[in-house]
Amino acid sequence: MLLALITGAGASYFYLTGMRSENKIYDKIGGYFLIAQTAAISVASLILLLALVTSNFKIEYVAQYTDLALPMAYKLSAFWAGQAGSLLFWALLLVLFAIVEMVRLRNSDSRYKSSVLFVISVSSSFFLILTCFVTNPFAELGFTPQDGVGMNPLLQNPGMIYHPPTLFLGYAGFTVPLGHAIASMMTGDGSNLWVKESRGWAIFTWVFLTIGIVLGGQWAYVELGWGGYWAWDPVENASLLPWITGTAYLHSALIYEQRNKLKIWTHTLLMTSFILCIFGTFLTRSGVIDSVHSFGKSSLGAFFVVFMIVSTIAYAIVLFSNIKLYKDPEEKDFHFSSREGMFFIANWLFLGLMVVVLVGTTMPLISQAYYAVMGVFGVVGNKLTVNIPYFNKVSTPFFILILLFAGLAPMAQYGKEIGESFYKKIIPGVIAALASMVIMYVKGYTLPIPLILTGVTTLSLATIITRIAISIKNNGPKVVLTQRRHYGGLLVHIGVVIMAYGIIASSFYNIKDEHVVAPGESFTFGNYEMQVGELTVNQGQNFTSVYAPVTVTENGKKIVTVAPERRFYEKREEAWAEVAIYSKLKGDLYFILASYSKPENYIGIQVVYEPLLVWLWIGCGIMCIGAFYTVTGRRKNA
Amino acid sequence: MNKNKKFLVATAVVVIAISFMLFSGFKSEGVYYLTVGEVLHNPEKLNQKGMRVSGEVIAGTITKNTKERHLVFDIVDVEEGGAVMTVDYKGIIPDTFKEEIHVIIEGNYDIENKKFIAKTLLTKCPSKYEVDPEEEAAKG
Repeated sequence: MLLALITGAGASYFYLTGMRSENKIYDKIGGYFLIAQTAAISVASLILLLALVTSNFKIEYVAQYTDLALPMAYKLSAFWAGQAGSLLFWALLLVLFAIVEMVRLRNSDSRYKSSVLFVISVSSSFFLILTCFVTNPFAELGFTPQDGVGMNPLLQNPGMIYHPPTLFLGYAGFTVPLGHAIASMMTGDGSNLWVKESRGWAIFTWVFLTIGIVLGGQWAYVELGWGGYWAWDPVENASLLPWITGTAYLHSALIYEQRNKLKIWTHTLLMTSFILCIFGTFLTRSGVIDSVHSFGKSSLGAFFVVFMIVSTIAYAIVLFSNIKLYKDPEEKDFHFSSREGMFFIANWLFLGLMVVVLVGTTMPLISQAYYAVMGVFGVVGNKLTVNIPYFNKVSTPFFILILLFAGLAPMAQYGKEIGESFYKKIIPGVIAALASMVIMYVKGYTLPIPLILTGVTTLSLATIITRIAISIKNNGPKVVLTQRRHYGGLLVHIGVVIMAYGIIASSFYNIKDEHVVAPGESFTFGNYEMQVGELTVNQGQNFTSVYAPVTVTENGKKIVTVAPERRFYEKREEAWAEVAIYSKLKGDLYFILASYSKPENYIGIQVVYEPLLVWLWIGCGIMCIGAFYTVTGRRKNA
Repeated sequence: MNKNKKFLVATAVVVIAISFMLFSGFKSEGVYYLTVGEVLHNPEKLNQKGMRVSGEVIAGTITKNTKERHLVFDIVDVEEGGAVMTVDYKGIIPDTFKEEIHVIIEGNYDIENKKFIAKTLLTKCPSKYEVDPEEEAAKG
């Protein structure tokens, strides 16, 4: 274990030397150091994994997150469950990315290559400093406990195995395009080369971030037992913020690459995304904002703040010293209603959405600072915060407009204002949108906001389909295979609107109910008849569970029997609810065993109906497929 | 209209729209973020908005009715001064709720009955994700 400490510390020393790789002459030396750094981090990671697997409780981290009874998969996932381990994991991802880039760029201009690798190695070294000096995963206890504390039962869910790594892949991934952006500025190259070079990475990053966020929502849905998937919690927002700007970046980059426009936007958005990743980690790890998710308070905050400030300033200096490269020479022919104009508006929408979410998330800090300053002038007030209704309220207009543009922008043309042909093409969409709103209204769903949302969503969906149909008619079906980037992008948009349907339906029209009955009795829920059976006890690997079977019948026909349960983990006093979910395309039935008592002979069951919820996951899947499709196209064209 | 003007107008519209939304959002949905002591100091004024308060559940003060989902308990301000207040909560009782746990509640203060009517109850165990094994070992 001591060896691991030394390798860990040793690896962090390499960053100083690794920085030399900025210099042309040191390119090769930098390369060797990078390999050494990667080897050291890999060894450290392996040792940590080994310690986790063999339950070496002398190491504090192992004792903190695992115990003897923990299933093997969760022992391994403890690598990224805790603070120290997850930072090491982040560093590991970064150096692995660096190696990939080193191989990929082996024939590139050495200054360009060095700059890319320089950025990545500085970032990874930052995380190494943290893991070596602030929160060392290998710190030893003064004694060897018999058993570890064990993992929090909420984390004992398959979500733990795949949600954090996908999110970290997304977080870490932004570093690579950023490296390319800086490299292009360092080499004084204002062309779209860097965007092209890093496009694969940007999409890769975005896909993993998307999957990570959605998986997080899905995990919350199945584990937290309140029937929802998104609560605008600071931790959730922290992952959403870089996603929003990242999405805007992808759009901007497209215009940069194809039209040589929005260059400064593209650079700024990329940097913002990178900083927001760090900021998100800072928010959740420093304890500055109260969140139910938060990790314990720690001294990490200051390091993150310094890192964010230094890197922002450095980036701003580099950008401004090269700003001439990015001034648009053909500024005059820019129309808001051309396709790039719409992308420009979309940038603003994404940025605005990011700002309102960011301000909401950091409101306690902002109001505290405000009153601290104003206190000098005698203005006194209390710290303010906001909750779910705020976020729903301020984000809805942005979502409406973003959905609208998601459908309209692909119809507009580059460099031209929209004209008659545009209006003609969107007619089917408008008709479909109106039809969907009328149907909804007639069926009794009369709330204005979901009506508008459904309208714009349908407009987008129908418009995209029209777009594809017209194109296939004009150019034959083969066009879908040859222009993969374009159709992949459209597919992503289709995924987005499908997700939007799921979100609209499940957030505005979910039904909650709860009943306390004696075993054997039944209750009605909408069209369903629920019969509750006897309580049953079951023994799991490290827990004992109690469940109540519930048989669901619809119009006299038996549909399914589900078993919501409560688990008692050996090391914990509390009982943990494990929900039972019955998913169908038209909606989910969600069961929670809320309360029970054997002596008093009652069982309390909560039921939630979430209409169209499955479409959220399906939409996300389509988005990812679409995104990957665009990348395959790129390779083929190149 | 030349391009610079166009941009200026667009930017102004966006900035105004965003700030308008922020302010109206805070006005209607903002809640005070307080310690127990602050709530007791001037509940009348604070009741105009919602309040979010954090504190620690005092051992031995919990009255729990699982069937009715009703909880009454006292919380204490851990950091500042140690003010104590009674909380009345009806709703889903979180799995982790127990004595000496850190909770975040949201609602308003009932001045007449001298208790806080909580609409939401979140538990925030300092040991939620991070447990200090040395402390644990000392206990066990």
